[in-house]
Amino acid sequence: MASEQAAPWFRWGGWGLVALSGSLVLILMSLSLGVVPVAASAIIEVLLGEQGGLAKVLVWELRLPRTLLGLLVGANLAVAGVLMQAVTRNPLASPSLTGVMAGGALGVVLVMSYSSWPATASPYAALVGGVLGAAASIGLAWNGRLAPVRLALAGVAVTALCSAVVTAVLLNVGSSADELFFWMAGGLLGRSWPQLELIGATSLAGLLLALVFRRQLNLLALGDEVVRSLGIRVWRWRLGLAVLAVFLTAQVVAVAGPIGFVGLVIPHLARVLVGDDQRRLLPVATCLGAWLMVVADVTARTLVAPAELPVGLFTATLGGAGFIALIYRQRL
Amino acid sequence: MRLSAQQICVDYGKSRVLDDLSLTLSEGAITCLLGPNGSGKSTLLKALAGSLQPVSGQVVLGDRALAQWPGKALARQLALLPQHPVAPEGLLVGELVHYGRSPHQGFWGARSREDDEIVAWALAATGLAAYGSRRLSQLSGGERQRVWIALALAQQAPILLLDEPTTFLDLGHQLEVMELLTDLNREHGLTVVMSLHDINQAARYAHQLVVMERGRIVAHGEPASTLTEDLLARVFRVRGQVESDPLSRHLSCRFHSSLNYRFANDNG
Amino acid sequence: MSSPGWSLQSSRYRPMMALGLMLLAMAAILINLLAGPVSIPFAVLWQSLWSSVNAAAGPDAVAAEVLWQLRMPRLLLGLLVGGQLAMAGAILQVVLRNPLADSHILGISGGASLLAVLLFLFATDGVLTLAVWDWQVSVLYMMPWAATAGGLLAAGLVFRLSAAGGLTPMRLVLCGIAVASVLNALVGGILAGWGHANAETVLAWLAGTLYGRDWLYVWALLPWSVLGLLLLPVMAKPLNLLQLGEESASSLGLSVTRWRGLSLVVASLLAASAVGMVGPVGFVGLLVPPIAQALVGSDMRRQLPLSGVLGALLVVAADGVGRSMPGVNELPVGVVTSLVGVPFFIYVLRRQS
Repeated sequence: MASEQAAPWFRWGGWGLVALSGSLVLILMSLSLGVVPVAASAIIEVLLGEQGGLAKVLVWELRLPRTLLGLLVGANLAVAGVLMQAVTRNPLASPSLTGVMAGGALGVVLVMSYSSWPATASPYAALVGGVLGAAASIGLAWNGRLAPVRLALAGVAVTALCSAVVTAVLLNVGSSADELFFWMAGGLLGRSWPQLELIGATSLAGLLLALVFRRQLNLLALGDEVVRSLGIRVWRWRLGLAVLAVFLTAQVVAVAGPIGFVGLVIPHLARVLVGDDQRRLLPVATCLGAWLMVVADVTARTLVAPAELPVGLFTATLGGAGFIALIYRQRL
Repeated sequence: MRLSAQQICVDYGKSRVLDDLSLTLSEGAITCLLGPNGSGKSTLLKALAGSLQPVSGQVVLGDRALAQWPGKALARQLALLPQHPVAPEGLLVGELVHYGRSPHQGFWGARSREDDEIVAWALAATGLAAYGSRRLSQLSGGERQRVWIALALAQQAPILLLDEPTTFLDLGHQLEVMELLTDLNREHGLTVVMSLHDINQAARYAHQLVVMERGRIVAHGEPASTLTEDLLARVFRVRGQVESDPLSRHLSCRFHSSLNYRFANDNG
Repeated sequence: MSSPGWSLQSSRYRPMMALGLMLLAMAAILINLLAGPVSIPFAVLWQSLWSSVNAAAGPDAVAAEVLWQLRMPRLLLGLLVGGQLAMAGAILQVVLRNPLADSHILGISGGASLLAVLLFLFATDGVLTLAVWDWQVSVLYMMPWAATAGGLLAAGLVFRLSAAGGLTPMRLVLCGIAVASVLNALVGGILAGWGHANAETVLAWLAGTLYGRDWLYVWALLPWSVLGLLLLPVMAKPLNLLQLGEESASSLGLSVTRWRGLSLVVASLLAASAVGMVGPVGFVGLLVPPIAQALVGSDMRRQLPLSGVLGALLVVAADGVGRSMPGVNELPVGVVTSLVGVPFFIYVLRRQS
């Protein structure tokens, strides 16, 4: 291939430029669109600290943190999906279909309803819940191997159980239910700097870690015997990468609530574009996930403005269509 | 009634499974379909039973094409025992065999005295008289296969089509099923058409052999004239001898070696 | 007598079973009618069964009012819904030859809820009031139609999607999961985006609840239950043959395609009209048919009616449990059936190799 022969810095640089400029365009779009549009010149002035007033509130307090959060959430979900699919060698593995999302949500609901811990504890609650949810689905689906359909069914069962318990808890606690219900609907409405501070650094660290391990991800695709003969401890890597995937998902669940299907569909979309090599797949999926989330969020807040739709409405519709396309393509 | 296929073609997806195939079955005889895997035996049986529509050509029963027979009237003439019949859980043997009466019953499925008698006869004919109140799941493979044959008998169709009725049975049960079919053919004049894997069993029990290869019939006739060493080599890719037992006059084949051995060896 | 001996054995324990079921049903019905925030003495129930409602005075009058205006319609609606969902499940499990088939998993519930919610959204000019007593009667009577249409559309979509490339049971369930999750997300999104109600009401709606359903609901659903009941005796025999697999059934003279399609339509009709009235109560259709099968075997002429009875009992019992939970709000019946149904689903999944 021609591109293989070009200097690595040139190839990566070219693609990086595409990713960066695409993201910048989307960020600008997200900052400007809304009930009150803000002109591009005003945005730049706000960012340079030269303008205050309404534009500053809109751009700096509301839209910028929300946009950055959207980028992070999308990237986290996409990378979590890539990791899960590689670790389980199962095309249907993804945060929402393996019970990670629902388990994480249950963890958050339980902690927020029955403990006096602050909201900063929610990523950890989501992490514990997510690990348990993933363990339950994988344990239930396991019969010597991990068949895609069985995993999906077990995930559906775990999700149904978790959401029944969540409903029961929310109805049981009464007063604080409204707030939690709002969060359960999934989306970025009302999220701002505190949420970004809560997950920003940890999410970036997680994403970087995943990028560092992309070679190991490639090896895991080879099958256990081969990998073992290459001197790699398969199960240790699998476990570590799976926990990383759950960690990334838990960050999302803690601030944005459960958002389905992004983690399932984006990795496959990226695979269609650049193939199976994780070294290319992982960055491309990261980028696509981040973009999708920002586009969905902008649509959710502009389509029926001044009202705002839950972003889950769009991700579920897009994701569901992608899921069905996947069933076709993979002949499951 | 005479059952015949007239120039039928059947496709699965893009590949042609039966290719312009014509066959007239002898009434009151046992006909065995032979051929290597994927030669189209099962497909031919399904087409003959009307559960699969050919893309061109037609299967004719009596004076009409199968497609023109009403479902129940056809079921009173033709019974098919598929290769993998599905048994609902927890059903009693008697209840299952009773389902064979449904083409003879009215809309509401009321059970008549006659139905009970025929079911009792079908159970007795297959040696299952004492099994009526057992659960299907308690039976051995051979017994279960006899239950399915009893169901087809209860249907009282003069033509019985069976798709590899002996494949998953051990040798004793295989012979049991073959002898049951021979008896039914002799005593009730049943026309039996079945696909088999075992060439020797086909040679021994069949009146007529139909040998298939890649969706076409390559030989058709009595075992003695059909089964030749040349055919074994050409169709089944084995080197063998066809011998006639001097006492019973049964044909039997002795196989020496696979003609595909070198190919198999290359694959590792 | 030519009557074969094998039909006797399975009937031996039938009287005992019938008696047990009757006792269970009586207990569940009485608890549902008498227990609750306002505890009603049995004497009031007994009296008001025989005399006109307004005859009593004082506290008894309140009790009779609660009994007849709140608990009786709720009980009857629960019975109808449970029966319909369970029979729909029994039909689906036979037609799809898959013990995991259920209207919830195949998207029928999702389609029914979506159209039901949309109907209310349009009928109320975009103000989605979820307080059930505010609705117009005409909208209520349109509800089962809309829900059935939604259920049929969803089922049709799932079939169309899974038919391309071979209609294997697993593929069907997978497509059902995909379609159902999209539909459920849409319902959730619409309720969250346009619903003018507090979180509790929305949550109960999403789970399926009998809360606040009065006589109007019973009358609106009753024609559909009756229609279902009339169709069932026609379905039983073809369903029996379908159990034997496509080839055997067609060899026995059944036009498989026609009956399979018809069965799916009937199942969608039963499940979707029930869901339109109370929301997506899940897992009833999954849980009940295997129990009925264990009790009376696979003959659908017995299994289908028994499934209906057991389903009705299950929903009424689940509603009783949900109402008596401690806490600020009662638990919706759909949450209780899910909590019971999911472990069973898992059990079935584990048993399938």
